[in-house]
Amino acid sequence: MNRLLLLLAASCSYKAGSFSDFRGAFPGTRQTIGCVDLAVGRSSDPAASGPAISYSFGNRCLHPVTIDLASIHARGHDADGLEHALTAFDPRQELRPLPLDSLFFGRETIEYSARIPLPIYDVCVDIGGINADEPHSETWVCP
Amino acid sequence: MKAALVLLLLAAPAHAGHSCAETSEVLGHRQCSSYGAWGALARFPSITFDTELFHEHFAQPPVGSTTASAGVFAMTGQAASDSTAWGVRFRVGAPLMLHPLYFAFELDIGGLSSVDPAYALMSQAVAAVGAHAHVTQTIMLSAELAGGARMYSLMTGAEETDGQGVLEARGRIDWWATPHMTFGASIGTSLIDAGDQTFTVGFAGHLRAFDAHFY
Repeated sequence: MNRLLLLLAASCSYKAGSFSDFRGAFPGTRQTIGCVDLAVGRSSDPAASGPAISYSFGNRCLHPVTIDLASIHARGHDADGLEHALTAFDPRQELRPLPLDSLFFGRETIEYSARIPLPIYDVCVDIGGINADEPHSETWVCP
Repeated sequence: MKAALVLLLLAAPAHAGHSCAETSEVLGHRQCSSYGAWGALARFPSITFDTELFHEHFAQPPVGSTTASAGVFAMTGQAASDSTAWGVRFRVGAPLMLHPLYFAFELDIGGLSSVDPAYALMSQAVAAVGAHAHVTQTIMLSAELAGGARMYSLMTGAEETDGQGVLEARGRIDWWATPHMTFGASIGTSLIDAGDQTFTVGFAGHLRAFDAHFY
């Protein structure tokens, strides 16, 4: 109940095209996919041992959309320039599609790693499926 | 302030009552919050919390004429022709599955003036059912039927109480100042006592943007 009241008191809205929330501007490369305004940036969070990507998103529509961060494909290059498919670090298997309410926003930071332990120097992510209500259209971003 | 509240919400520890210091925002390294706090709002029902000021005009004094204690509630000649009530209305509403119908519960607490004695407490609890429609993106009109009961308490040395049923037809207009807040006014007329009229003004907080009414 406390959370409910907090939520009521705190409810603030995302303004379409603003790419910002109460924390400030969404960091990184900006894209709009259907109803979703999305920014993809590199995170320097010290807890991550591999490359970490921050996703900041806002729903610009008057209806909920489904955000699917589990659909994102990632790839990176090692020191020798070899490309590797990367997987999200999700030890508790939390990643799943979730609804984002109309005119609301969210942020997540996800660490990626290669199947074999290698230092990865650059990362690109395909965010074309992040709006699960839209057909997947391959959209690679290299923040 | 609003930002601080949002932060509190999003960073709230999973187990209430335990403090938790977050050391990382990265999924899998977070200790306090789980994935997808941003998805919680879309799973809440669309609930509205209203706070309104009401003013009610009674064509006939609501107490005195209905009470058996005529000696206690005797009306003066002036009061008998003009009796009013004022106070605060708290209202919680939610949509019904059959959109655009909605229901609401109200609690009124106020004072009754122009009666003898000069002041009496009035409380009222009603349930309302109505339908609303957006005439523009930010203006919403509603029509509703409200029924319940009200009680009067008069202090005349000893506390005396009286009560009666309530059945009102109402019209409302609400303006969406933000996707989560409206300012509104309503007028109502009693279907039991002809000439009894109610007027309210107030504001409301809406848990879901535009009450999750998708247009």
